[in-house]
Amino acid sequence: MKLRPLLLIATICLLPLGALAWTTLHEAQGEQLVVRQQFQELFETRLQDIKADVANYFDSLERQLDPVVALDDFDTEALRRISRNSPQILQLFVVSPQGELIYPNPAGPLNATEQTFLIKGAQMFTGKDLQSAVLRAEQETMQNMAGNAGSLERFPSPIPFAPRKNVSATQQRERVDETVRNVYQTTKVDGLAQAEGPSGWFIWYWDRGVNLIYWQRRPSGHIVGCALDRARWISEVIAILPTTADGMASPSKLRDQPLIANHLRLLNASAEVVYQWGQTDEFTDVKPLCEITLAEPLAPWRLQCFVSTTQLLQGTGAAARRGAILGLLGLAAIMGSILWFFFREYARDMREAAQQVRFVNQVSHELRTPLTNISMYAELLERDIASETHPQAAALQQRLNIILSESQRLGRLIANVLTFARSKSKALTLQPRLVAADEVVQAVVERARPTLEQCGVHVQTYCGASLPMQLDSDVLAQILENLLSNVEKYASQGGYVCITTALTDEVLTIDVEDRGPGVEPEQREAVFRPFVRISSDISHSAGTGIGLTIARELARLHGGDLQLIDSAVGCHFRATLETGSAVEHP
Amino acid sequence: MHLKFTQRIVAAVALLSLTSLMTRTTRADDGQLKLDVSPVYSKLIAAEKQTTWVRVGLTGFRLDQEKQKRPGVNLAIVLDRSGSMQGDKIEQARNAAIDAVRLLNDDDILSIVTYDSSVNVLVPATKLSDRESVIAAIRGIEATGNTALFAGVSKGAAEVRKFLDKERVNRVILLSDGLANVGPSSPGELAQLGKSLLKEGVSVSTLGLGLGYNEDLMVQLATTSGGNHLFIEKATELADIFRSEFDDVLSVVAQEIDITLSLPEGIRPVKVLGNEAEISGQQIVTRIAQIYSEQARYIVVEVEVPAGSAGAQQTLGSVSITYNNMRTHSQDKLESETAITFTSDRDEVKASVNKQALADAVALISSEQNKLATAYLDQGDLMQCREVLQQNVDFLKSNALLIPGEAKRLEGLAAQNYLQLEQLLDVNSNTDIKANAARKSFRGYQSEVDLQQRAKGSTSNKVNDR
Repeated sequence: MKLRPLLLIATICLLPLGALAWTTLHEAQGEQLVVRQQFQELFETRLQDIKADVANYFDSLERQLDPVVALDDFDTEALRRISRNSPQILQLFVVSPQGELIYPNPAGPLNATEQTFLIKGAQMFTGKDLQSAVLRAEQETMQNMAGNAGSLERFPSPIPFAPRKNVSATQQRERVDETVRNVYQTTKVDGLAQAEGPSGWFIWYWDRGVNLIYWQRRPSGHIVGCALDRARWISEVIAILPTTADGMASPSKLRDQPLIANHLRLLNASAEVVYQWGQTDEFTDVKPLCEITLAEPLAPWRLQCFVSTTQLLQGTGAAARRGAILGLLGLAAIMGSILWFFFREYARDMREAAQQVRFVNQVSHELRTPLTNISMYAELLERDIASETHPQAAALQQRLNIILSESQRLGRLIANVLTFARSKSKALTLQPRLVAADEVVQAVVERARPTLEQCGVHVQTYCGASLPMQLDSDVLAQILENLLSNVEKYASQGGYVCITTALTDEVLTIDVEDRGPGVEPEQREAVFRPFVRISSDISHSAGTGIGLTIARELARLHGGDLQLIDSAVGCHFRATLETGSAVEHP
Repeated sequence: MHLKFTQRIVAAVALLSLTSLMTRTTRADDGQLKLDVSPVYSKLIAAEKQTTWVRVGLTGFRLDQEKQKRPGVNLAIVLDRSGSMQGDKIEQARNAAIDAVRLLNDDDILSIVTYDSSVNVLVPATKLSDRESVIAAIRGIEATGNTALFAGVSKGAAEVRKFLDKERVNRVILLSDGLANVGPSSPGELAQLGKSLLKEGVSVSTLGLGLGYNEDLMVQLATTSGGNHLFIEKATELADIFRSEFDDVLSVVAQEIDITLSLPEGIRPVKVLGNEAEISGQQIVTRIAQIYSEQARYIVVEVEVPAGSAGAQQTLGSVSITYNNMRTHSQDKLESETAITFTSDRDEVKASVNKQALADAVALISSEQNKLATAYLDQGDLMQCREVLQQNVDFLKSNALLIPGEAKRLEGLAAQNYLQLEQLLDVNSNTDIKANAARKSFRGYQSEVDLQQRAKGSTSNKVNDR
């Protein structure tokens, strides 16, 4: 009884609360996505800036190298001097229009740098792998020398005595010279032949990665190129990249942004970190927020940007979520207090109502005794009047009748109130005993008859249940009294009521038919609800409005029912009561 | 110290006859480098194809710091502040850097770069007018993280490059106790970088602290760029060793010394000891990054001499040198040449020895032997390694006896080798911590001897202490 309204109000409160929570969370998630995307774009622009810086570096390097390789005189000594003195250049080379390597000349005496260059560059120039050939040659000479040369190396002859011959070093060098010569003599140099345009970059892999060659085609058709010192250009690229300190506080677009831990990486073609800056220690094995590749000639290299996702979303989606949660809590608090307020009010009303009901019950109960006395003495008086001959006996009798019928009505009302109260507190019980229904019906009808006839209602009874049966006569009487009182109140203008009783299969049926205005079929059930009046007519407002409700409840308590059934004229109430075995148990 | 000698006693008491040297020294006046080109033996045995050594020596003039203004310095100090530097090491490194700041003049340029897994240019290249803020910045250095050595050096070099000036001493000092593990990290790559920096006149001195650093990488970087490599075994030694490196920086008298040695037809170059050199046919080109005040710097060239007839004279080569004189701020040139005569008398050959040149050659050869010992150690062949070291000790000792004038120096070198040998006596594996220390000592030795470093690392300091 008290739980239902509570649940109802709670649902009313919680439903919008839940909906609100879901929406805000969803929105926060969407916001996070948007923020993430925004930052992704932002950091990508940053990476693009860096990419542009690197591209600028290579442009300036190009401008720096252009005059260096603009050579038309291929004097070996001069070329060597250039290789020797240019910090960026590892080795110069010149390829003739006929596809011959003029410098470094594989046939001529080579210095160590030139030789290394030719060995490592053989793949590029001739398509042949010279490195393994050289390694073989070296191993062979080493093996040949193993007997004597090894000991020579290990035992330094004290200087005063014969300066020793360094056999292994010279012999080995000769073997390597020969191997290099052979490869270049038998194959044309065409690695760069397809190179188009007047100048450009050429990428070439040796050792542990990308090597860069910048070349220029001279008017004579010669290609002058330089292999760059890889360590050097990596070092210079690193030098132009931001450091950790200014990576955070640089006057970049991010300045106005809240400081977000970020970490940028430059990766080489084999995905090794070449350089990194920003908060390097926080990001291990996470996916980069964004990634771009560098421009030519460093196209296989990549830039990656890592951002702490939690921190990224902290300022935004999380704040929204926090706000939403706070808002929801606030709302829940308000809703809760409203709920509590309503519940308190409701509980108080309920308490008051219960008190009123108790009061009415008590009062009704208290009214019964004086009413019984009034009825009893009125009846005694009626008998006295009947025995005496008094000039005004007829008039007195008439007045007494009114007193009697009105006290009956009052008794009925009290009985109804008490029954209603008991039914609400589930305290109604049956007290069946062996009675003849017709006797009870007749008694009730006789009691009601004067009042009814006074209203101009002709009462007719057809009794068909004269056998004694297990029945709570009070219940039967109350049902019938209520039905008849109903006729008196609403159907008196019909001027007729017919009460029929029948007993079939231990079911007592009582029909009460009037010729009053009747009830519309759609309102037939409504008449049984408590405190409902079909007519709004003030003249019909007499009564408590619980008579039919109680009658139906009593009938149902008695294992039957009370219904308003179809009839051509007026109302036709049919009450059924179970008798016999059905009423054996209370 | 009882060392086992396998020396050969030379019976002949050779007279030092410097007049027999077929050497011409040009312009030995003060304020110039002194060039001396001399064969170890001015006489060679006739009718025999043989190899001999030619020493090209340069001596720095005296830089009188009282009277003369020393050349300006353009220095980048690159400090490893990776996690392993925590504690005493970073403390000492900070102090050393602060000492450096105090020793420099207002006119000098200093930058400070720190690195762990990323790089921070703590103090960008600037004239030292506001010393205190620089010192405050140094005090704030804390050790943490990984080691991006290559990037650290790159940034340091970039800072030096901002004010790159032939009139200044352009140098990067790298102090690290660790391996390079972010970015390019092979000795080859660092060597390449060093070579490239030498081309523009920037040297990198590498100070290896403790036993955790990669000595090959540090040595390569220093050697190819013409800087010092110093092994600092304990953090407490850091200040002194850093100071000796710093003294070097402040006493440069000549820079970018390009030596070209042209050999006549028939004389074959075999090997150059004492500096990275390029042998192209009959020409040997090498660049020495700098010469310090009163420093004797030399290279020894091993050449193959064809058989000659007795009495004939053979030119061994001519040397031309260009360098930036830090006192006069001019580019100076020196030239010289050298020759030998053939004789059939072996005693005459012995007598013709140039003891100074011999001692230098012995020192450089001992470094080559030391490299051989390193190779054996790397192979895990400790027997051979110890044997080579023992021979090296004997070799140095016996030569010390022969060259009384240089005995102290050669004994010193022998003692270093002996110390290394002692260190390895009861070691069975090259993964042993003692082997690690020995290896660092090897590399320190090689770089000290090859580049005739004046600044000395832990091992040679120990020898001096004895």
